[in-house]
Amino acid sequence: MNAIRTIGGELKDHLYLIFRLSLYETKSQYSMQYLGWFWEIMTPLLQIGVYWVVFGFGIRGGHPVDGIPFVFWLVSGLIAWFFIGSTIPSGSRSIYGRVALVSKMHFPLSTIPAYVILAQFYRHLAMIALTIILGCAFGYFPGWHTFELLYIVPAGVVFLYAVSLLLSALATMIRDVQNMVTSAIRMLMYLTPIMWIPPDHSLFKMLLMLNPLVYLIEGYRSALIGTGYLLDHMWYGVYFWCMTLAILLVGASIHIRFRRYFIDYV
Amino acid sequence: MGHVVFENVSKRYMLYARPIDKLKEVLFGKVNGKSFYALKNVSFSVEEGEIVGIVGINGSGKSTLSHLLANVTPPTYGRVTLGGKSALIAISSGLNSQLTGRDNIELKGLMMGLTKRQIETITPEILEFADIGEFIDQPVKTYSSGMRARIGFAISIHINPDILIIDEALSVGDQTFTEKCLDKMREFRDQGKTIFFVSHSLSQVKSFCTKILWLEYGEVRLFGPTNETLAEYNKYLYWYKQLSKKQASHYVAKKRTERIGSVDQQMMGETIEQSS
Repeated sequence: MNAIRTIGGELKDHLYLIFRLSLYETKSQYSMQYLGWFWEIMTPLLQIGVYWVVFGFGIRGGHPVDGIPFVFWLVSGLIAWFFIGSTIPSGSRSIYGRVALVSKMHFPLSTIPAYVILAQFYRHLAMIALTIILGCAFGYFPGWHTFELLYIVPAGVVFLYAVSLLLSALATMIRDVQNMVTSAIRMLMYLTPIMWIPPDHSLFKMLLMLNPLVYLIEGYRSALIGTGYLLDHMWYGVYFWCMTLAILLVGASIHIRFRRYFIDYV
Repeated sequence: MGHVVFENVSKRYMLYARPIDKLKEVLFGKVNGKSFYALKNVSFSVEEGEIVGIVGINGSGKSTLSHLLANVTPPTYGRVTLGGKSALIAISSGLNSQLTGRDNIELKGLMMGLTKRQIETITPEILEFADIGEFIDQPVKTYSSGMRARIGFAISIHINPDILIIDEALSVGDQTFTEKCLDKMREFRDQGKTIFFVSHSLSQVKSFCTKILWLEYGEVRLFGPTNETLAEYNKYLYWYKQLSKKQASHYVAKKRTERIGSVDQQMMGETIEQSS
């Protein structure tokens, strides 16, 4: 608990730093390219197109999901996944890649995963806005359920920070963790019901829900489409926050305990 | 402010026979492998306003010492006391090569804990000192090595450290820039700041330093006023050069084995940074 408090304090004291560094992070990422921001949007669009064809038309034969047009249903879950799937690998790589550069103890290492996540977050916000526009095109206008975004988006950010804090510490000391993360993310993309609908089998559904990412994905759908999932699954929400807290607790204590020595592992 | 004290400082690196031993150490805290002492029982104390030259042949622990001084890495045993903020200047001191020089000034300033306003004040001074003209708005990757060193140096000295560590950074600049830097450092000295100067250029060290710390295979061989220490060091270099190949490798091997093994378990290492 103390470790969490220390890290929370560090983040709070360095908000401006996190903000500026996240801007430089995106800037240095795209300084090489002529159409930087264009690719930020174009790459996901192409991916959505492919999944739409393969899963929407190929597997489902163009049928809607519970009356929701497949492409809107797909996109509202997939944008959450784009954020998760790009943040976790870069978050876990974040400290290893930068500790040599910032290896000054004045610099709070716990802010590194935070600004790396924030750098991805701008694109995510743009995609949420685009999804809302897409929803309008299908006749799903924003309503009360849209306010759920104010809950599920921060929930996702906190969860991702907790995971990144833990993985970045482990990946700095044990390089194999990075490879593990990469393949785990690849598998999770299909193990999480983003592009397919889980069959009505209660035990299978329960097992699936052990994965806290399911809560986030369905939460995004609840907020963007209005499926009501979040309000129907209060206890699942409790499970999600317990998991998040547990990951944060372990991540924060490992980070605090070993951060002094990160530089020696590089 | 600016004083530096090393008390029985050792820095140990582990030499693992197999990579799995390193993993075991991370997971279970079980130390399994040979220890190699990059620095062994180093003690010295430096008053503020001194310029200390650090000399020694390759592998004597100069870089490790400068990392400890800059608080980049903690000591394994012993205590390092730093009387203020320290800054390390190495040849490519942490510049982001994708970003422009101007961006790097802000980035580095932020990372060193300066406020927005402080960065705004020092930026023109840095531009003037680095003197790289139009290139300041170009990505650092397009810079020549001299320009890189100049901007790196300019940033580091303008964040106003109390302790400045210069690791071979001046060897790439041209004569005029080196002069400019040396002038700046004299100014620093007069303000009561402490400077550590790691260099192989004995003439630079001689003209500039007030004291010399001579490291040999991780231990302090001699620490004293410039002229006497350098005279001894020169004698040593001469002696080392006249050794036959066999004698030299025997000598090196003997010294190397002394660094493996263990020092008595003492207090865990710590670095104390006093705010000025």
